[in-house]
Amino acid sequence: MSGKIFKSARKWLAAAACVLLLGVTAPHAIAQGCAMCYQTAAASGAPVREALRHGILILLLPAISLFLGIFAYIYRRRNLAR
Amino acid sequence: MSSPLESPKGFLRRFVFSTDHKVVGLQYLFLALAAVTIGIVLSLLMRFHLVWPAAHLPFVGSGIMTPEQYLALVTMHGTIMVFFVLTVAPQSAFGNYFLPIQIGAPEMAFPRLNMLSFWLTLLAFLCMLAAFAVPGGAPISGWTAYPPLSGLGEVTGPGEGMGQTIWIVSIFIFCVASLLGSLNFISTTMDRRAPGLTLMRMPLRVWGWFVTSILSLLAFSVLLAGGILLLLDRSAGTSFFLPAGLVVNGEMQGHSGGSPLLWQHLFWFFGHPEVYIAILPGMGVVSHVLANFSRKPVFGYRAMALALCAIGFLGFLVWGHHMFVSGMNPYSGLTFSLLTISIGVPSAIKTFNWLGTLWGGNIQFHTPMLFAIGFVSFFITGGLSGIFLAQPAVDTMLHATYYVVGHFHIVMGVAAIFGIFAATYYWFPKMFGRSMNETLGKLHFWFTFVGVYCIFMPMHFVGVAGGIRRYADSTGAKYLAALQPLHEFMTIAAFITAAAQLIFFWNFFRSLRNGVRAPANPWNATTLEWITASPPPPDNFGSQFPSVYRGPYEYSVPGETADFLPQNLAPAGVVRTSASAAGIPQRAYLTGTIMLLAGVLMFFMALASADIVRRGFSSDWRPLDLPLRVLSLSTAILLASSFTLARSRSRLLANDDAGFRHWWGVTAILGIFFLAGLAIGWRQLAATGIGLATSSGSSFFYVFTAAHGTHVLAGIAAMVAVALRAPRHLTRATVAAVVSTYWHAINALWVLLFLFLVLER
Repeated sequence: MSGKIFKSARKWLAAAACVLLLGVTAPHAIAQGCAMCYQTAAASGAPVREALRHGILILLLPAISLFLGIFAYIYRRRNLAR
Repeated sequence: MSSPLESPKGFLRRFVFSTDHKVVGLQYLFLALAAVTIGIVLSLLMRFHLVWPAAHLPFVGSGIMTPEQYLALVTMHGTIMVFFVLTVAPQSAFGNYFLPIQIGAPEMAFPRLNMLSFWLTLLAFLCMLAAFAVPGGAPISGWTAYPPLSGLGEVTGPGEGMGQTIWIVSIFIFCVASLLGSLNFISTTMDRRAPGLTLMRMPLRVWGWFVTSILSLLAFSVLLAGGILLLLDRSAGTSFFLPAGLVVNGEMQGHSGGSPLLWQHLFWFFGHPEVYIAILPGMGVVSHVLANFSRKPVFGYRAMALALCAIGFLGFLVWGHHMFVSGMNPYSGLTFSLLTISIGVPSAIKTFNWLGTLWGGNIQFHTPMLFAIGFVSFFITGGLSGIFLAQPAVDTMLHATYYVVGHFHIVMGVAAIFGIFAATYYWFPKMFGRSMNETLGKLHFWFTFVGVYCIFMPMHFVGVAGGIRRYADSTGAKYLAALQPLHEFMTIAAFITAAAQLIFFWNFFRSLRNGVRAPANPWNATTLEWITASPPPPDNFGSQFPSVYRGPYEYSVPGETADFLPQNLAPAGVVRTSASAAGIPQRAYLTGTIMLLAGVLMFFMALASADIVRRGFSSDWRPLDLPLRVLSLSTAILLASSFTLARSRSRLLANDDAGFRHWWGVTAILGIFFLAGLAIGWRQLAATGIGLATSSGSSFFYVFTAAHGTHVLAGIAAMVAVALRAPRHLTRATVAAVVSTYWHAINALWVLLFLFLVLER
């Protein structure tokens, strides 16, 4: 039993290490979005950029949490019939 | 046994103000058809003007189209197509008609809300068209309505007065309609599925609608908040998006401290997911149609469903990456980049699995199949041209050129529209009981497929050669004039492709009356809509509500004699049962309320985010002297109302009706006291000379409190309405649970807002 758990934990650790490795070595894709917005933001002063980053996080984190939350909600009801 | 949902009597109740999801779906479909017709006409006018800029047009005031009129066409074409065609047709039209049927339900979760969503959308559409008729005409700031052009009023050009205001009001109404529609879709999918219809047995079409609804719920709330701020900039003198020192046409503008970048920040939170809102339902229908006409199960169903969810989820991260990386720690940037790039993975999975579904299949080239394959073709082509735009240096050069126009039209516009065509040809027999003509359908496909490539592929070359988008006349500049032959080619292709759409319209409207009568399941398909009559009865299944025993794409199952196995076909040895229609489950109301609150939360988060960003830009930001005493008292009153509401609910559970009513009334009165407290706070501020437009701090204070006050008012109205007349379909426990959930959440939100406002000082 404990061997099984250890094996499973090792699998997860290996996967996490792979993701971490990819994260560290990933190229910096700065133009994934729009060049115009990026340049406007980059050309602004440091306080503006900082405010923008905070503003983005404040909008991004609830959006992601709600998205995942709704999926958790439907997952709990995955086998629930009318 | 009589049907639980009888067809209503009278023309108005049956066809106009109908709560039947099928009628609402058709209403949306015809609205989208009207919108696409107008959108195409506008684009033809633009193409005509680009090639013959000096030509006289009978309906243009001076005969020759001015650059401003051209820009108005650009704006209205983009807006109508993005909002009223690409958002309405795949999601609202087909979703409304088929979501309940595909999940084996007799109705949507909230039929009246559904009807309201449609009428609001129609109102928004009429409002948008009215922009053509007002003095100055339609706005010229593009479908993205970038300030300062969109924020300053008519001083910036014709159309920027009343026309732009009407545009914003129309988008405001559209956002509300979309939010109501989204929460209805989510609640329906969660709580109205037939017995046996587990998540992994849902058709991919349903997955597409479900994920799209979540995106709409979260994205339109933010656009709604942005729209309100823009409207205030235009009408109340605030400066959310308008910087100081703007001189337009020699006039100094009286705004200060705002930034257009804030609008970009809010708008693209909606704009990024909007791409997926337009394309995800198309991905669902294409997966569905490809499996049906390949007579094979969808290759990697589970991966396809998860890919739809992943695309929706990562869509938000793409937005976050949009400007996030500027000036940040490079290591955080790397992680963010990796997450963002990973959106390519689910897109690639989908494409690979579509091709895997086709591979080795017994392919039947019916018209819906042709359009589905066309969708895949455009999705790949558009995806490939997008790779070039992912390079910063290339993107900077191509950004304002026709390359981008060609790219996004192919991947977002045409691919999505091919999905809509595939859905129309596929489900026409089910919706109207007759089939569309196959020969005309194929003719329509080939003209459109070739025509569209002829229009948009040359745009890439024009863009690479430096052809700038949004220019009304490119004959003046030598290097642009050299591109005119390509423009002429594209214009001729556009006219031929538009003419080919007449084949579709002819086929569609002729088949409504004269098409060959369709059997219940003309395509030998497996999902639940095909087990009922064509068109379906008012309750969708004629009282024989299905139970589900298998997955949605069981074609050519080894060992089976039939080439397809409907979802309601019980396996050997299992006793087949008929599910009950039942009413709307009580839990659906709670689900709907929670989804509403999710939208409300995003709305306030958008305002908070705007506040923080605005402060970063602000040279005029000063701490606001809040009327703290009265606000603190109001907060205490609101918190007390949560306790009285909890008391009211406990009395209800103890069957003490008088106690329930007493505490219910006390809660409503406390809510009114809270609103009175806010009003006093406003008055105190106004008495010190601090108004809405005095500073960014005061602007946000008034907006926050007014928005929250409106939500409290809605809660009070709900309490009074319930006290006066209990809803017929809801138990009192459900009513109390729904109102309590809303009220406690709104109160908690106020506490956070109050802390935010206090800390901001």
